[in-house]
Amino acid sequence: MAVSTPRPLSTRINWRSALAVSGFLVLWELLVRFKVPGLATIPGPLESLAVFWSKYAANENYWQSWVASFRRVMLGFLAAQLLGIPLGLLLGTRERFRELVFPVVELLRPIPPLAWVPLSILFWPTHEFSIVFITFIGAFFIIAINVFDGVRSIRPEHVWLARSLGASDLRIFCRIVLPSVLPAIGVGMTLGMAVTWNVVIAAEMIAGDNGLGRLTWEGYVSHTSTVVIIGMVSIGLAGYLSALAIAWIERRLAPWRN
Amino acid sequence: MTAPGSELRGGLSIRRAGKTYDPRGAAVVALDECSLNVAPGEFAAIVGPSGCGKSTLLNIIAGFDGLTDGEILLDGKPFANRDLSPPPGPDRVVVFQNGALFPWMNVLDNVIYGPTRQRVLPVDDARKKAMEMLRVCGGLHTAAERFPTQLSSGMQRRVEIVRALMNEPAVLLLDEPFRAMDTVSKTVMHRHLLDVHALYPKTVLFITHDLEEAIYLADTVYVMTTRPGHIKRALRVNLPRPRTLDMLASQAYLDLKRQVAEDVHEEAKKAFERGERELA
Repeated sequence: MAVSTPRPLSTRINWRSALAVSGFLVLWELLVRFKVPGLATIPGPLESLAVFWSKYAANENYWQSWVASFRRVMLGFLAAQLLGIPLGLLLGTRERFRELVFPVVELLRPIPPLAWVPLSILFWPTHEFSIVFITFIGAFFIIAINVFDGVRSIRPEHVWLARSLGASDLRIFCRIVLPSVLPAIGVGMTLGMAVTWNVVIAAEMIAGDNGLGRLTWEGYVSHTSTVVIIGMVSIGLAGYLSALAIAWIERRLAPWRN
Repeated sequence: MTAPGSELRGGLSIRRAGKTYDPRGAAVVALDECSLNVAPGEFAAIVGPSGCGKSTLLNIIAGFDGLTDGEILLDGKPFANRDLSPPPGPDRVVVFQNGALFPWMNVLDNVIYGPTRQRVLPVDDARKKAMEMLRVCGGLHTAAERFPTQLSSGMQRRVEIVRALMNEPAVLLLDEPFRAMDTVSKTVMHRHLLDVHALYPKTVLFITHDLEEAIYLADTVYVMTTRPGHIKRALRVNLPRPRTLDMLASQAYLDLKRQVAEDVHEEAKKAFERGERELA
């Protein structure tokens, strides 16, 4: 056998990824075809794809579900960044503020976002508000705590040196504290985005009248299991696309980290 | 040996300096009756075991910490004492052992940060001066656009020395800048620092736990005791400049080393046996 020339790692991995995904789909199709016990009621990938193609691909309502879920995720996520980043910065830089506020944060943080569902339905005027609020809760504490940790791990040498070189407190905040915290903001965004998708889907199943979570749930209620599969795959895809977007932003937030 | 010229600044007179940390009543005496004099333009090295308070002394001079006893004069003027803590300033810039280049700025932006921040130079002039200094100090100008993480630790430290020199400091404070390096890189950095010091003769206070490095580089070596730190021994290094590697095998060098090696070892042993955690 001839000595093979080393191929670039990426092509090798892509080739294997393609094999893994198609292998999974073939296995799924075969298990359903041969009516393996327990899998009798589950539609195969081909059937799901056929239903998707004939009934959903050109269906405006289906794409409206994407829009509805994405809008909730974006609103909740953005609100969480807008409030969570300043909160984390304040917690990290103002000692008195931390002493007064951090215990409350630690009290509320362990409450799972979905435990907020009943209260937020009672409190907010519309279900739409409630769902966005719960999505916000999902990402808010994560981003705040990550930024807080980011501030605390700033190297004191950087602050000292900036002061030696003539920087004022405001300059130190803008040129030392903020850039030091950017990587932590990136991590908070990645984790926060994953949680917002988790939360929005569950919240839609409980309280929504549209969205991808609702679509999946309605598939279950109406015993059309192909819709359940279409909903699940759509949710997975939406989460994946969001993660890609966040990874893109994260790379640009801190380009010096290669 | 650098002759003290009229333009040389940075004479340090440290008189019975004391520093007691008092976190919640448990007094830790880092410095006690610590006295030494550094002439303008002199390269002084302080050698001592880990946690002996040598970094504390340097941080006080840099303005990151205050004295609790004694006083320090800079160029004859009272500079720090119990009631007087100078703010950090561009006349006393530190190069730290782990490096403290700002990772989010490229090399050039790091180097011009001081002069542009203090508005002593317009940005264009600062850039020009920085590129020239980077070029002279080991051809670093080719790395001007790169981020610190893309450089070796030796290159990072060289850039940091340039960043400090850009401010024309009265005294250059070096806090074990080559500690984390392997022996081979260290000899390269020593050569580099000697060259830079010949080009830009500044007062240097160099902190290290490495006696051989101290003798090779400095005009005067001070041996510091284990905590509470004070100066146990001062050693004039009469080796001529420029210093060369073959001096490390010369009789004069070995004689100098023999004079203080026992003192350094004794203090290191005390610190080791006490087994205390290093003081920041």
